[in-house]
Amino acid sequence: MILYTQMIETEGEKRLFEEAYTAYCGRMLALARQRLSSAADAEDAVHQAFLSLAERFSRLACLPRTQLEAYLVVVVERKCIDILRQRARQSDMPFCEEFSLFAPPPSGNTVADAMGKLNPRYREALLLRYGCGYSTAETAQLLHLSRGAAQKLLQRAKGALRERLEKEGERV
Amino acid sequence: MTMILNDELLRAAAHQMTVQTALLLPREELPLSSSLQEKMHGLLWRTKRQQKRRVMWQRAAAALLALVIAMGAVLAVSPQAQAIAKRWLMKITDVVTTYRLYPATEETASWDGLPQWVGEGYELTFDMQGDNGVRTLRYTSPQGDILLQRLTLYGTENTVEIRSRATDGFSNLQGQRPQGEAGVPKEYTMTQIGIGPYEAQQYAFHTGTEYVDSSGDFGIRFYHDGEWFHHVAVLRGSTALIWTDEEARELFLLIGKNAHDLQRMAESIY
Repeated sequence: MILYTQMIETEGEKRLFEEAYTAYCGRMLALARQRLSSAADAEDAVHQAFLSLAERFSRLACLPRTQLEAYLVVVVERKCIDILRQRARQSDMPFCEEFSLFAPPPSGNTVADAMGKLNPRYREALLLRYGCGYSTAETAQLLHLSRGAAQKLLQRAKGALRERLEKEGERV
Repeated sequence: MTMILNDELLRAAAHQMTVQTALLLPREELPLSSSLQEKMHGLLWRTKRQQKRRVMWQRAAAALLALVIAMGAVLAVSPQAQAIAKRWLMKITDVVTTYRLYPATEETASWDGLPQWVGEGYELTFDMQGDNGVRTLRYTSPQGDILLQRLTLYGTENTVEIRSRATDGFSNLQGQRPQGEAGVPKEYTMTQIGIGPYEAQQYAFHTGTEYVDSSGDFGIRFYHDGEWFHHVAVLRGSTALIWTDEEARELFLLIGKNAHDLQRMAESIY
């Protein structure tokens, strides 16, 4: 395929957002509950995830279903991590930022599997830039970063990916 | 064997990771508590309100953009870079090519002008009329696809942008889009040609520029009231033809690899 199209229904983002809410809210809650023992925390994570989605919806509404679902997983994970970090701080416990809550299942593709094991921030950046096909500038907007900061994050993510592949015996 | 982490490899891997990540979303749903439902309904309502506000901003910005484009003649833009016809006006700057498409006041009788000639091996595999006024036809072949899109001009005023890496960023909430300075984009070249009785622009998207990586570096984006509603990603090395059919009151967009075949295909419509 040399080209592809992305279309947004003219009825607009509002309807799409409501559809996303209807289709995914309960499933996102089920996902959050896998890692958060408190039902209230899980609901908080989902609410925060939808707030985040609403802020960026004009950029995300055109994503195909698989990419949107992957993005929702990543957002729920990030919100769960925020809550776990907060809980750790409240109880003076250390918190590892590299901690990954939802590692994708292996696919047999060495690079994809290594990418799936990266820390969530790196995974999110790579998913937006290379998985969803956004430009660096657009990725920066979705991550609420400056373009320079997004470029650095992507460079670090690629560096971390290279390291992980080397650790797994690949020559990169 | 040494692996090179180039963009192509990263894209393929990220695509696979995206598929695997999506699998993590459980199929079963958990019921929402009444307090979460209340919060979510509040969010939906707020989103509606924010969107209304945004549309107002976008309309104001669209009016400003229209004014700027209409004043193109007095801006420092090459005269060759502008063309005014009955229902469209084009402006080229160093970062973006923009078409302003004036709405037709009368709807035409249904006209189904389709290419009578299509290159050998091509097969029409997709034909869909979208709610957004864009009809999309895809011709598939082993050597690549050809995409034909038709946008009706009746009743709405739209703008269309030819975007490249240099066209930095999306529109912001106020609908401001990159304007650029006098000049022409470096990442693609435009040639004026004729298709039937109409003036057309042929865009050749370069394969080797400092901006491109390997795919999706160019795009053709359609806006209405400052809000984009349709986007076509174009890979480097592709060619696009754009023309406005004044009788059919439609904008035509044809994208593929072989410029000669595209032109012949477009001419066979008339």
